[in-house]
Amino acid sequence: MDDKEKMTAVDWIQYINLLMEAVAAGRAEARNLKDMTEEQHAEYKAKLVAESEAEIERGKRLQGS
Amino acid sequence: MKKFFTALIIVYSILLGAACDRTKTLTEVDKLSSKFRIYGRNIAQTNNDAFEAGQITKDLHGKVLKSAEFYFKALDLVDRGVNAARSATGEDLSSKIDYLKRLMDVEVFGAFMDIVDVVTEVPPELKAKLETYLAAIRLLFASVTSLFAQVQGKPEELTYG
Repeated sequence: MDDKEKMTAVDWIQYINLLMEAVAAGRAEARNLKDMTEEQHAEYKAKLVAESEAEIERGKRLQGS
Repeated sequence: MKKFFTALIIVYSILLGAACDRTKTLTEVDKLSSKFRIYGRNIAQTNNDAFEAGQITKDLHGKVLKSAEFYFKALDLVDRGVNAARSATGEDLSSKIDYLKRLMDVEVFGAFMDIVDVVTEVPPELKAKLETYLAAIRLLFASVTSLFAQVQGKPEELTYG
């Protein structure tokens, strides 16, 4: 969406709903943390860090395009 | 002599117990940082997907992206702090745990609230229309942010759900 175009109230609600769904999905995923051993958790965290960095880089590429 | 050994065993048990508690606290803070990273990754991914699908403006996408980046940097600080605290002992460990709690409270919480502020900062012309909805959203996010308060209380009772 071009910055000249304005987001409508419906656009905002849809976007925020998507974010809320993302947080809800995160809550479900986070429940698995409790039963992880330290080794499993270390491996999982490394994957999470890589995925977070990848999303930031993807976002920057999208901003540049 | 028997009393002396009994006293020694009691003191040793207390010290061992305290050390175990602190190690447990570190593990809990470490896992809590992962939990917040899951939320951040999902938010960053959703933000990218929404922009790619043409659902949001470049400006909004950029603002949320920047907030997410700061948020991850705050979590990186926590992770580095946890690693540093693992090799610490005694008073040094206690002060490092206090520092981690402050990091969570100020840096991570602050960065998370910045994301909430950005996504709920709607244009003035839409404010009246969305006011009730946005208030409800803030309440929902508050349930996530209440986890930060738990860090200040009893980390061993942290919830993961």
